[in-house]
Amino acid sequence: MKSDRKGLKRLFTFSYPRKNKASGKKEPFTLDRNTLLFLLVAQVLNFASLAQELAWWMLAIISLCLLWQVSIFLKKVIKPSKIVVNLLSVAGCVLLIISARQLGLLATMVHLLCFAYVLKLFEIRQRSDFYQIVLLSLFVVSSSLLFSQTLYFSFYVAILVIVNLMVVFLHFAPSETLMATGKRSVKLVLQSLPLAIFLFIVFPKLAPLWQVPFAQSAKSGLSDSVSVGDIANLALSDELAFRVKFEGSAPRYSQLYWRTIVLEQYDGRTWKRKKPAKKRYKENLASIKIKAKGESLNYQVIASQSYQRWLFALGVSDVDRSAQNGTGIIIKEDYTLYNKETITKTLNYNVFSYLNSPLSLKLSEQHKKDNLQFPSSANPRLVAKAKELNRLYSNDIDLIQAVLENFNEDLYHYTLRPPILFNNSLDQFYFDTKAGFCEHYASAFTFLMRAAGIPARMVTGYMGAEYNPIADYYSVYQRDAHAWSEVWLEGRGWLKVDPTAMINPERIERGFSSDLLRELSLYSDNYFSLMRYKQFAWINEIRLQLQAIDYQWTRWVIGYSAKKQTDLLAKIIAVFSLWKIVVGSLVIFTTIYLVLKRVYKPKTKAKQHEPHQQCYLQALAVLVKNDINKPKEMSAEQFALYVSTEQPNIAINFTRFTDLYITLNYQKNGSDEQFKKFDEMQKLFKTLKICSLKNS
Amino acid sequence: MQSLITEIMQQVSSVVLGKKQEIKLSLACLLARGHILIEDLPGMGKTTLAQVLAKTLGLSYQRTQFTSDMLPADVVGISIFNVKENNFELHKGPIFNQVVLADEINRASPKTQSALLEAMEEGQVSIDGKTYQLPEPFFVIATQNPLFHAGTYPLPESQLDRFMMRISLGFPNIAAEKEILKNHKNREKLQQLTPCITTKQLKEIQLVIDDIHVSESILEYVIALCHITRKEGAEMNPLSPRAGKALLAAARAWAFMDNRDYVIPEDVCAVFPSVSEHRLESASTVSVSNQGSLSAQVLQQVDPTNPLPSYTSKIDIET
Repeated sequence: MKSDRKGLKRLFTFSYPRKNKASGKKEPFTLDRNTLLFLLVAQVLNFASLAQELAWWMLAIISLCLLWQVSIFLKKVIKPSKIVVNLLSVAGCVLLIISARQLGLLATMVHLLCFAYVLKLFEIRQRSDFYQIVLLSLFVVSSSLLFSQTLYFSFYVAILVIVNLMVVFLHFAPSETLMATGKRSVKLVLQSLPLAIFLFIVFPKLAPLWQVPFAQSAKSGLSDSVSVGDIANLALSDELAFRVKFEGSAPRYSQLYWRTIVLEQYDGRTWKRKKPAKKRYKENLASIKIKAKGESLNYQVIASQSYQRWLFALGVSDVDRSAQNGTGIIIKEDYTLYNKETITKTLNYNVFSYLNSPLSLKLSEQHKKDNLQFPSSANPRLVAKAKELNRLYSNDIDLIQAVLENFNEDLYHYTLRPPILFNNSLDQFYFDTKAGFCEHYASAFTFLMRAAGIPARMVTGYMGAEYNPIADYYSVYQRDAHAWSEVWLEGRGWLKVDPTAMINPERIERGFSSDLLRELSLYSDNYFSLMRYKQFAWINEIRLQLQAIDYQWTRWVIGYSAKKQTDLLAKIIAVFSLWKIVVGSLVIFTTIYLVLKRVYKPKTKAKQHEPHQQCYLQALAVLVKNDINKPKEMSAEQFALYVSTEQPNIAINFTRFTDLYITLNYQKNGSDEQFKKFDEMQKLFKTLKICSLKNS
Repeated sequence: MQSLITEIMQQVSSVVLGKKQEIKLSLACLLARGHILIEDLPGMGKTTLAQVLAKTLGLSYQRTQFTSDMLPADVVGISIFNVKENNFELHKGPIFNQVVLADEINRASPKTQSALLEAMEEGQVSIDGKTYQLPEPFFVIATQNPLFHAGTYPLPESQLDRFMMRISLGFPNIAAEKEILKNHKNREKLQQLTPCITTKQLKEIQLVIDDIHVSESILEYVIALCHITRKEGAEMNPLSPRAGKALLAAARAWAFMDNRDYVIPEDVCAVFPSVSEHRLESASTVSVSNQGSLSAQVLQQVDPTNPLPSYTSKIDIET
């Protein structure tokens, strides 16, 4: 115990490695085996936090080094010499330089950091090396926050910080239990929390100096091209796409068509976005003005990082330019929202949607032509069908209705596992297989419309949303990705038509049916997702609770942007004048200081009992509970005699206990002896407690 | 070494009968290099005890009967002009002995009493501006009559503080008194006593006692005892740090005599009345040396297992 306390003191006072007087050499610095083991474990955990961001070859090098370390730990291999480590580091650096271009600046730096971190373990020769490696650990862990800031991940990082600090405590107080070390570490982290919160609120939010790299395409349910028949089964991801908070009441579920991408170009197999003519490219970037009037639906969208640029809105929408982040968003001709930059972190924006407003009442000839275009050789059967329809119906609306009804009446069915289709895939789907999901229906419908001479296009986006009653918001997941069509009618503009609704109306009214959900869960790529167990009410409840917390986290912590910060500070300054703030904070800090001083002063002032004294006094307290009081002037030895006459049942234990106390308290003891005796004393104290409990 | 102690104890108690505890105390005092004051009524064996101690320890000793007309020179010595050699010659007084028996010290005038002062504290005397080292070891064993007796000058507190212990013998019990009455050859026996110990051995013992371990807890216990007397409202003279030192030294010697190499609170308790009582009595309280009154009060107020519950270690030491 005593040496522990000294050890801890040493930690905080920081002493230089002592020189050995006899030899004049530095004492060789060695880590305790337990500490080393723990350090290795911590290192593995730290790398786990970054594993997704590291290239495979770096991961291989790291695991090799860690394995090497483990074998050194198990004394199977000797430590590598300086030269080997240096060679290794040079080799690694060369590899890094070669791949730097591919990785990008930030990733290269992270790789370098990890590489240095894993190699540092080979050269722990002084205490300062140990400090360095612990600092590196903390740095590596924090750097993982560059790539993900979700609630759960932040929690994981916090735990890692605690684990890494435990390494230090373990080193300086090796005889403490892991539990006690953990407690100490948690305490330290908690103590730092107020300062962290203060800095979080006040410290200037600087724009990152680096470019966060694009993830290797998004793990999105959405892509900017649709080719029917390519995908045999749809991988449905539970990943969050975005969250929505409506001001006022939310629209009906069936109105929640989140328009995201409009696909106007068709090459016979794939639907693509219209490529802007090069000249018009810049124009295209310019945002169109929304002239719609009438009642608007206002809501806030919190988009998760998607490494894409598209954003989400309902119908004709305008972005609140006055709010933060609103300025970076442009509205394209087709009324979809795009961010000027790739969305690498959560993005908040406010939207006004005019659900009843028509989209593009006027259509230029060129644009009309674009939306009627299809390769002449594509899907001949559908083209024939279109001609037939044209003959049957003179009115466009009737024609559309007929096509939709045909979907409903014929043997079409909705499935997430459609058969693979080849040439003229839409023909195949429409006439032969008759099974598919939204993309199939929307594509076939759109094609049919174009063939029948009605301007039509594909729209992809998200359909529906899940309501979280706890925090009153909607979440939209990647699995809610959907595709539908828009047809242009004279005088009505672009009309949304969702052929899928005819086949699987439930999907449109309420989201996935339970049957489909079961099917969905079978193909879900996330086997641990709570979504799989949506059927069980209580699990669903927990899921919603967790999501609500996550929502608040995203909204208030991650969404705390530079703009919000300045707004908040400006608000504070507006409410209280500057000098009031200065005086107020002075008062607050002085009070805190005085309170802390009051709280901590007695502690530093009060005499520190030696552990054995503490133990003995505790034993006395236990005896007092059993009505055995020690007269004040009585010494320990006399009291033991007294107890043995009064309470013979605990006499043996207590006499031995007193003997140990007397030896510890009055005799000269070696430290080993001291530990042993104190251990015995503690054991006796426990039995004493049990005995006295029995008595009472 | 312990066997020597038992031998001494046996020899002393064979002459001074039935006073084991007092003998042990006085021996502890001498082993701790302290001076001892034996206070009691005439005829209780004070002088006998002093004589026996001196003889048994094998030290050179001289007895000085203090009277009211005594001068300091009678104690420390005097320089007399030697006509033959034509210089001053020092005639050493009785203080130049290893054991000085100051009988009935409170009969001498304060001036003479304080002549002992320097000798007792410093182990040296100054005569005519010249300093003379006293022999080693140097003990003063003083006896005194209770203060209410006619023709006594009470020792001042400063003088009292120089005595490590004050003990009183008290009346013997019946068995011991019978022995005393039977034993008419006591004086002859006293003359025949032989030393049990050499000076070298005595010095060794004293060194061993210096090395006896005193733990922090004991130090705190001693401090706590002193603190009680210094509290406001305590009707006693506060104990000085010198008193604390004396207490600790005596406790060490006591521990040694109990065959231990570390001090326990019992040692402190055992010597505390003798060490503290004469320091605690204020000049106004005339005591009939019924031991235990004040010192017992103090002892009762301190818990040896937790002597300083609200003690502020840092502040006390640093400021």
